[in-house]
Amino acid sequence: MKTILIYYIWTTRTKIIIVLMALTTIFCYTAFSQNAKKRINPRMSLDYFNLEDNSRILRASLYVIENRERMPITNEKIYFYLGDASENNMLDSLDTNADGIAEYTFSEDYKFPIDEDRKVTITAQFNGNKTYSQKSADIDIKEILMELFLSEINGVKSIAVRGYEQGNKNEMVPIEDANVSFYIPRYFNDQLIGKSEFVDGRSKIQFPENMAGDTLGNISIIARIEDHEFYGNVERKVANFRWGTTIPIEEDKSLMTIQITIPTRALWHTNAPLWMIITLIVLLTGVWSHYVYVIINLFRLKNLSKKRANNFRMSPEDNN
Amino acid sequence: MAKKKDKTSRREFFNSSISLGATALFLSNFTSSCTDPKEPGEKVKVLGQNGELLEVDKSELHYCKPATPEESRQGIPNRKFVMVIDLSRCRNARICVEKCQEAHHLLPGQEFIRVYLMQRSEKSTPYWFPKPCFHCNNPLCASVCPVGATYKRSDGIVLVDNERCIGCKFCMTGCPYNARIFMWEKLEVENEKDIEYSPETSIPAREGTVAKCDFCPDLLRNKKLPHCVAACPMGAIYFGDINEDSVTNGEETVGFTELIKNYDGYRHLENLGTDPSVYYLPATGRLFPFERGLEDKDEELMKRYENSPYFKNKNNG
Amino acid sequence: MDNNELNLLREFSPQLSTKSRLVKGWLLFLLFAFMLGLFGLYMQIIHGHAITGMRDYVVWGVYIVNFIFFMGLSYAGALISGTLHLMKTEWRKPIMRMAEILTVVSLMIGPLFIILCIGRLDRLYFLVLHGRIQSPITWDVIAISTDLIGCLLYLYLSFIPDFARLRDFKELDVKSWRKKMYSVLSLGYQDTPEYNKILNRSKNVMAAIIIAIAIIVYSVLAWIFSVTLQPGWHSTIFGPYFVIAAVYSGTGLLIIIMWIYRKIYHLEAYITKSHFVKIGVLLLILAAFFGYFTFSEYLTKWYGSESNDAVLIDKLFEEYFWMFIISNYAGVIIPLVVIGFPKLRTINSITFAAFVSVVALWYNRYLIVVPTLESPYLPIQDSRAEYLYYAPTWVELFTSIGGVALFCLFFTLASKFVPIIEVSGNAPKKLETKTASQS
Repeated sequence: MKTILIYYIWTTRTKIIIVLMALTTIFCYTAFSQNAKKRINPRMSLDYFNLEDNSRILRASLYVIENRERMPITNEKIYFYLGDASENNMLDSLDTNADGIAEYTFSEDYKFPIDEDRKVTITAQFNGNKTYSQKSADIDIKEILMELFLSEINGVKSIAVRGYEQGNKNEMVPIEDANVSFYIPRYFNDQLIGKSEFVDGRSKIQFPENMAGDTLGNISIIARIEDHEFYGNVERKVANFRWGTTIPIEEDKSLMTIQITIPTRALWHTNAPLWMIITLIVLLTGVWSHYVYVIINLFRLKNLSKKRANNFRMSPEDNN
Repeated sequence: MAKKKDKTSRREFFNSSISLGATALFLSNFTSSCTDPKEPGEKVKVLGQNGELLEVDKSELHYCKPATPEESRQGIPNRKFVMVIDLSRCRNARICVEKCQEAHHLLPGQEFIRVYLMQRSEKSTPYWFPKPCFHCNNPLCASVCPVGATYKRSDGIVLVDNERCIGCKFCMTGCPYNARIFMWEKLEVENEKDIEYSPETSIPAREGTVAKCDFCPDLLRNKKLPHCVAACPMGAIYFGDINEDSVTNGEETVGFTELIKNYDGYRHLENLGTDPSVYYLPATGRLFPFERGLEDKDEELMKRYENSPYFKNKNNG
Repeated sequence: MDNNELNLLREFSPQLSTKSRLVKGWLLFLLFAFMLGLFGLYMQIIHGHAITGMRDYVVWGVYIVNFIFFMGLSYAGALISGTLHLMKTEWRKPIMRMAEILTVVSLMIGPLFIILCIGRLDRLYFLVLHGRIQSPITWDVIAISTDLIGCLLYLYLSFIPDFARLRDFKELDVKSWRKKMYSVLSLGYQDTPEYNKILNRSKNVMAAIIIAIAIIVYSVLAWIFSVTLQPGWHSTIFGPYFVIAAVYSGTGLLIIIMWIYRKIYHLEAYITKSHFVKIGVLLLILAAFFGYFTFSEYLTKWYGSESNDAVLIDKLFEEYFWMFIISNYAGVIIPLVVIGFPKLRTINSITFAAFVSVVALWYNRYLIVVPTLESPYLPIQDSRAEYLYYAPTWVELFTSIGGVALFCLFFTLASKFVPIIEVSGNAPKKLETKTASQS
């Protein structure tokens, strides 16, 4: 009896263990397969922009690379945090747009809560969904003041930039470790006209000759610190400065704009040259007037016969 | 702390941020196809060129829709487009051909841009010669069209209006560069039914009409480069506005006059007086032999070059 | 109506009937051939132009060749009838009408071929609505329509006296609706000085105008080719060259038509060997001119060293060798020899020479259109291999057959509508004594 009881208890335990093991395996399998569904790992880039008029933007771009091309992930929430990714620090949550980009703009009077290194850390996080796994990116930001100057001395035109950052004791310290590139914005991209390094907070290039402007010779000049470790991307701009060469305007024949000349009449234009039109009219009139003459004669023939018919009716004895 | 980004994202950002800002500024200069959104949607804040904040309809941010046939006769204001092709860089990768075919819904045998194997003289080295439509400033094709279906606009682009073309093919015999193709059969392309026809996109193509390279004005209106320019892996094709005197291949933007002067740019068959808008930089200082363009190409493609001077000489002697 | 004319009418009126089985059979055969052409057209509309042989380089093929060919035939009629009318030659009378009908019928058939070549037939009216006068095709449209109206007017003017005769001919054996038509269309004409004054003045004016128009219209057609930059087309003498070639081919066809009608209507008394010889001499002169222009054209191309011209000349002498020989050698030498030597001149031999000239000119047109398109400025590369050469397909063959059938049909119907030889005015007396020794 005892042995039977022991045997019974033992087998029950085994059964329980076996069942438990089975359940665990099933659970692990399903959990595994969930993970084995393999969510795609997206990429995210986070950049800081400090643009003209001191507006500051955080830009997070969420995308994947397919066939060597960048495919944006749209309509997903990205959370921006000041510091670590925790609830207290959240600045905002924004949806990515059609290009996979979410932008957060700091308000004008917002002061960065900087740490001892005068830096602030920003984190952007994408929490993932069924297709994509979670991703986050973070950057450090140091604020700078940058100003762009144009000067012309003795006919030599030059562009200068001055940059300052906040020093240890709250004073403005000239920045050192940065490169600035100068551009003229063109229709598709910006044309690089020079690069230089910051020395003691200053950077300068000579404006090259023969840069084309618009009809009045106006150009805009952009100075950029690109992709700096701490300063991010800083851009300053001057618009409509009359340093470019003018587009030649040809007068009196332009149809559509004052810069581009389209003649009002040409062989290839909708409007034909005047001499063509005149020649055609003269020729056609010449020919068709003869046709009209002949047709009039035909009518005269017809009228003649009518007259004769009337005459016959009046004098029946006349014979042909 | 490490930052995760790659180079292209930075470039791309600047390109699109400039376009964001510039779009706002230039919205006022564009034709109605840009400034009238169909449904007013969500508003978004965008930076103007001088840094001011503008509120712009979200649907307008990236997209000016291509012009209708009547609108397409007016060019993009204040622009005159020009292309420069650097022959020392072309290696017959044919990605320009493929991307163009894809974008314009062309069949495999139809090309708007062709790559020829040319040779200046018997002793010189053969070179690859991509040939789009040259958008001549004295276009013979536009002169001979009896119904005005092909026309030159103020921005220099010559377009074909397939709603007016009667298919007489006179323009095809008039073009000395053979830049035009004809739609000989009905094309059935999926997803084309909802697309509204525009001469600027050349889709959907109409059977019995003429088509050719159009310099992609639908992209140009949105400040994007034409497909072939953006696709070239060697950056051999430059495109720009001659009034700004600058051309770009997507990566570098250089001065146009400087480029032509320094590299002795020329135009093909200049003596015909057609005044083309596509310049070529001679194939000097090549970094790789032209035979690279013959590697890894399938038989049918190789057959296409049998008529070239290089192959003819090879076969003869 | 005098006795002479009555006899003539009695002789010619049977030709106007369509009762005989032979005529009916012929008309049915022509209709069937025309249906073949319509079938080809139908298939072309359904499947698009891809079923023809034309491709991106040779965009103009047999259709344009036929178009130029038929237009060319018409100018001979216009020029010959116009010139002979103004010169008031006596011997012209039996063949004038054939020439005029030839003009009008080929002017109607020619544009049909160019319409076949147009990709979007549903937009043809754009040529009028949106026409650009800088385009040679618009010049062509204007010119052809002007020419057609002019030749129709001239033809009608010459029909009026005959309609009047037929109206007054009591023994006419045709259906009553036709008799009604004759009386309506004759505009009440009577053979009196008043009527004749008006009629002759109109005819003189039209004869002068259609000579001028014929030259201008065919030059416009030539300019469609010569204003392009294609090497092989961009030639300064294309205008005169085409005019001469046109009149040459038309004269040849006129001789053939004369021969056919002489046989089937037994007109040996009216169209004599002397007519054949006179038109034959005209053919000879034109053959000489044609040979001169062709030689001048190719000599200039060959002698100069320009590579585009050299490529074209090589192509003509290699790929198109036989066509070139037939067209430019046989087409010139055979007529010159046959008609040049008085001993060789018989009616049949002259007709044979005319036949050779017509065929040669069709090949000549083909050689002008197709080889040039196959050798453009930029040699054909990076295109499908089948684009290199042009080969017409069955569609083009069927439609050509249909066009030729339509031409014959119109001509037959015209000859059934009016007598093929002018009956009225100073109709030639029947030459009874010479009938036996002719033919």
